Amino acid sequence: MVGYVLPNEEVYWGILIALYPMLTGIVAGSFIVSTLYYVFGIERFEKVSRLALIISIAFIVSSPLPLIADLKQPSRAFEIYLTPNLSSPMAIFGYLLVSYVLLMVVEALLIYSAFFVNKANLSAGIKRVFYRALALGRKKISEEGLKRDKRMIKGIALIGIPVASLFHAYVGFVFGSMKAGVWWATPIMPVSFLISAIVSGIALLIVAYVIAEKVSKGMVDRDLLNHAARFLGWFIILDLSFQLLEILFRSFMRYEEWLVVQEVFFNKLATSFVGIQLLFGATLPLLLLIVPSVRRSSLWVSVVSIIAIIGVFAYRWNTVIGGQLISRTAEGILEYSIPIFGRFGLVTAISILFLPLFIIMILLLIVPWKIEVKVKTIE
Amino acid sequence: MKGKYEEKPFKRDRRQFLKAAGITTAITISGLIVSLKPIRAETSANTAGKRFAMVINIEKCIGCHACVASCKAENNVPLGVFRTWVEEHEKGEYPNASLFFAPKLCNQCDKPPCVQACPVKATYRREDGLVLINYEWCIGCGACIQACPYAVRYFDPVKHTADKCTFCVQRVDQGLHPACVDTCVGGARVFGDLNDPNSEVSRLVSTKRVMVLKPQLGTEPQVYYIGLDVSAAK
Repeated sequence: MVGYVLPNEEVYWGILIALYPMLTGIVAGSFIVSTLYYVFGIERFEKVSRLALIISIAFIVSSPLPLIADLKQPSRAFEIYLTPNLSSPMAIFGYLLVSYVLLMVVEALLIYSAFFVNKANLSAGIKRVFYRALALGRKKISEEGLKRDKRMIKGIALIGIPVASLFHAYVGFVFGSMKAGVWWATPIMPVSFLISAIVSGIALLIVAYVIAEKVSKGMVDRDLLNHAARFLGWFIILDLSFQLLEILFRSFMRYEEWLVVQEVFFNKLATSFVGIQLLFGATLPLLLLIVPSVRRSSLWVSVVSIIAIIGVFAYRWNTVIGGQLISRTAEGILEYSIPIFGRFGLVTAISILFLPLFIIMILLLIVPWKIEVKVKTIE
Repeated sequence: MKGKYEEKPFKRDRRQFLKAAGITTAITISGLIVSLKPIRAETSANTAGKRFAMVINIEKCIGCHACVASCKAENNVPLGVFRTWVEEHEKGEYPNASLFFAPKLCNQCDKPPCVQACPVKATYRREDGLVLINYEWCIGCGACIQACPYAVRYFDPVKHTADKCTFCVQRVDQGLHPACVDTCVGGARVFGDLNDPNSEVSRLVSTKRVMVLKPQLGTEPQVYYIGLDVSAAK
């Protein structure tokens, strides 16, 4: 600790809380990509629309874990439903989570409805009951029913866009509304969080698509890749603009905290902030994406996407941890070192990070991401 | 294609299924709403109609830290965390130099950001102005700690909840003063009721030039300082 630091000050929110906006960001970003097909009808993205939704569901189911693990009283986590303080953005989280999970599950069930109906009709016993339940009790599908489903999916996905935005922007609001934290308190935070979320969502989807295509021995769709990469590029530009605006304004206005902000972000955290978040994680992928041949190579686009994901994680890290390094006095700097073991440590964080990947694999065992769902009607 | 799969037709069609699912959800949600806990708004009968505040006269503080020690003893404050502390500040350069002390504690804000941030209503403000914590309800998320601009909140390593200065609520409810006030040798800390025009705090707040910490944040602190230097007003 350097300078004027108050005695109770320490970094109370550690790596788990830095991980949390990473997970919700992927949820929101991935969902928004899936709506490109389901709402806006861009046929090109049909191929990844189901995969995007599966990723989104897997990450949203995992997203409360780092939060619960970070509670000092995890057994009381459910209290946010029982005694919610409606003036607290955190209390809204529980309700948003439940409604969003419901929305996505219903959307997924409708999308796979025809698949489940066929599966149920082709299997027997407990399997039949399982698929029948997933098909919401439906026994047959008709062209007309499929059309109705499509309209419903479109409607649900449309509602899902503001819900997804709220779900992630609220995280930005939790930080942005903390007037006690000088680095956090900015109205740009929710917007900036949402945009970088979309970056991480598209990037993860690209990597997942390439892997899924390779695993199922299919051909990677170059045209799709090119467009997804362009999309990624545009959002990286937006993301960078908001981040640079923030710094530009702060350096120009020079409020009392500027000296410490400068010390923390351009000296102490220079590697993770300037190095990884701004240069390696955002500027480099942007420059690479300008090259047309990069956008068509599945290997290069994957590499660029992974770099962009690292950049977004650096952003989360620098926001959550970096913001807490600045003392309330605006005249001192705190210390933080990642604990390796223990409930709040690195091992927990990595384990939690693997959970959504595991869920994606389980979901892909139940439903296909790719196979064109054939309409099989029973007269 | 009338297949053998039609042999055991499901009795419920989709509409019925969804209806049943909808009713189940509605019952569950209404059950949850009925079981919502009421807000705990206990106020001691002894303190009804009062509004507590503290005035700290920096020029009377000699830096003995007796207030910190008595607070630790009275409230069983664990090692490493503080409900109150006394800062030592040096000013100027020899020979025009001076040393002064700045006691700090929870400001018992009229507009407390911690109460606003708590997701479960575990921290609340009583009508007499005390900002308190319901330790049975606190989930330990740390939102209040992050929201406090004065860093007076901490995680209690024994209780595993957030904690802070309560103006010694257990003493105040019995008509006593907080431990730090009673133990202050120089009489630097004055505690009382702002609603009582004859109280010492009312007299000091209305006749002296007082200041609060970070007034620009709009938290309306109820700990007033006399003679605090700008360098310590954090």
